[in-house]
This record gives sequence, structure tokens and C-alpha cells, in this order.
Amino acid sequence: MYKRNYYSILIALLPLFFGGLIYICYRSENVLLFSWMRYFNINYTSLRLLNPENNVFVQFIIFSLPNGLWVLSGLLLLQVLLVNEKRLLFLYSIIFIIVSIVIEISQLYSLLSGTFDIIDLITIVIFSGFGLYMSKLRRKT
Amino acid sequence: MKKFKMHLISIFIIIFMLVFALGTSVAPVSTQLTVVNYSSKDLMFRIARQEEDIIYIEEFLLRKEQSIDLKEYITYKYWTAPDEYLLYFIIYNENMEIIKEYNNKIDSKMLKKLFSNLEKSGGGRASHFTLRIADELLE
Repeated sequence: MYKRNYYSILIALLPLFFGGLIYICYRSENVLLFSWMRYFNINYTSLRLLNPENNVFVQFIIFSLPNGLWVLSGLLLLQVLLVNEKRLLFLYSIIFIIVSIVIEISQLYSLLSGTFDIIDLITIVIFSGFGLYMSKLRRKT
Repeated sequence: MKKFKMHLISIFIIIFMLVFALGTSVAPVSTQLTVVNYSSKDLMFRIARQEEDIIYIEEFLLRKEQSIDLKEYITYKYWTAPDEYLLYFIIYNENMEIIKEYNNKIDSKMLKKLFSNLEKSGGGRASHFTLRIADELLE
């Protein structure tokens, strides 16, 4: 049981890992993540040598997908740890989704740093839906 | 008690995720400088990606136009307009003396670290580091 949970947590963290990787490879170095890595002497330079093409799909992967992966990872983590608490899981999933949407919208009003993008918001909503669907699926199995 | 524990776990997860979200926000200016020791080829990749932001000041350093007070200039522009420019200084081995000189002059802890790392990496064809300063430096 514990082993299964352990694997589930690792799987839940995978989207977060890939989202972080996208940031490290392609996003501007002025974000905190890079400061943290420099602080811990993590050499990320070799990951930043990839030179992607500039098209809509790549733009989506670089700028919007990490948001979706972040939401998905959060929802999956909640599912793993609240596996037997259906109501709590629903409550905290909704809270988490609302928080992520609020974070995105507050960028529109410059309340938080970052650039508001409707595609980011749509990505968050789609991945939230996917996360909730996964939860439903998990309950069935 | 179990319910309480579950609430705590859920809140912890949300906070954990928020910390990651925080990591994607713009860093305070003081932590934005980056030490990079790339080979020339690596640097070209980076330049290709951020072309519009990059101005070479290699020539400036090679020509030793030291009439500009670099320390004052960097401090002024760096703290007041940090997001406007990203310049790549490319310092070749021939300029190690200049690096040492700047290292002694500049007070900023972060800049000192930059220069010190650059000094240590002295070997190879070139050492590079990135700094945010304004393009007027070349004008």
C-alpha cells in the first residue's frame, strides 16, 4: 500500500518536474527559480542550450503548458493523499483550482508579477478538468 | 483527529504548490545576475535565442575604453532599469587584468562573486558572464 502511494506521489510530481524543466530550458533567467538554483550551486547552463523554433505550438509549450502541468500535478498530489476522503478531495481540488485561476487573473491587474495570457487561463481550466476527471477515474478503479 | 490531519496535509500540498508558483515569478533584482562560463559555441546558442536583448560589449572591453566609470554605470542602470536590457559581456583571457581590476573596484557582493568566479574560470578560449546594464554603454 505504502509502496503504491510512493509511486503515485512520484507520478503526481512528474508534471511538475516537466513544467520546471520547460522553465529551466526556455524561460527567462530573471525568475526566482534560477536564483534558487544559483543559490544551491545547481549548474543548469547545459539545459539552456536548446534553441527551439519560434512557432505557435512551441510558444504554447514554453509559456502556457507549464501552468497546466503545475495545476495537474497539484490535483494529482491531492488525489494521492486524500484517496479515501472524497469530500475533502473535492473541496481542496476546487480551492486549488480557484487559487491557480486567481493567480493568473491577478496578473491581469498587476497584483502579481507575470503576464496575463488568456491561453494560460484556458490551459489551467483544461488541465483542471483533466485532473478532476482523473480523480473520477481513480475512484472508479 | 484524522480529518484534521487530512486538512493539514491538503493545506500543506497547496502551500507546496504555491512555493513552486512563486519560483516562476520575477526574482528581486539583487538575485538576477547570472554567472555563466560558456564556451563560445554555447554562448552563440544563447545569443541566438535572445538576440534582441543582447548587445556585445566585448569590443568595449577589448578597446579598454575606461573613460566610463563602469562601476557607477552598472550600479545606476542595474538598480533602476533592470528589466530593460540583458547584455552579455564576453571577456577573453587577454582581459584578465581588467577583470581583476573591476573585482577590486566594485562593491556589490553579487558582482564581486561574478568577477571572482570569472577569474577562477580563467582557462580556455573565453570566459563569459552576463550582466544587466544599459545599451548606452556602447553609444
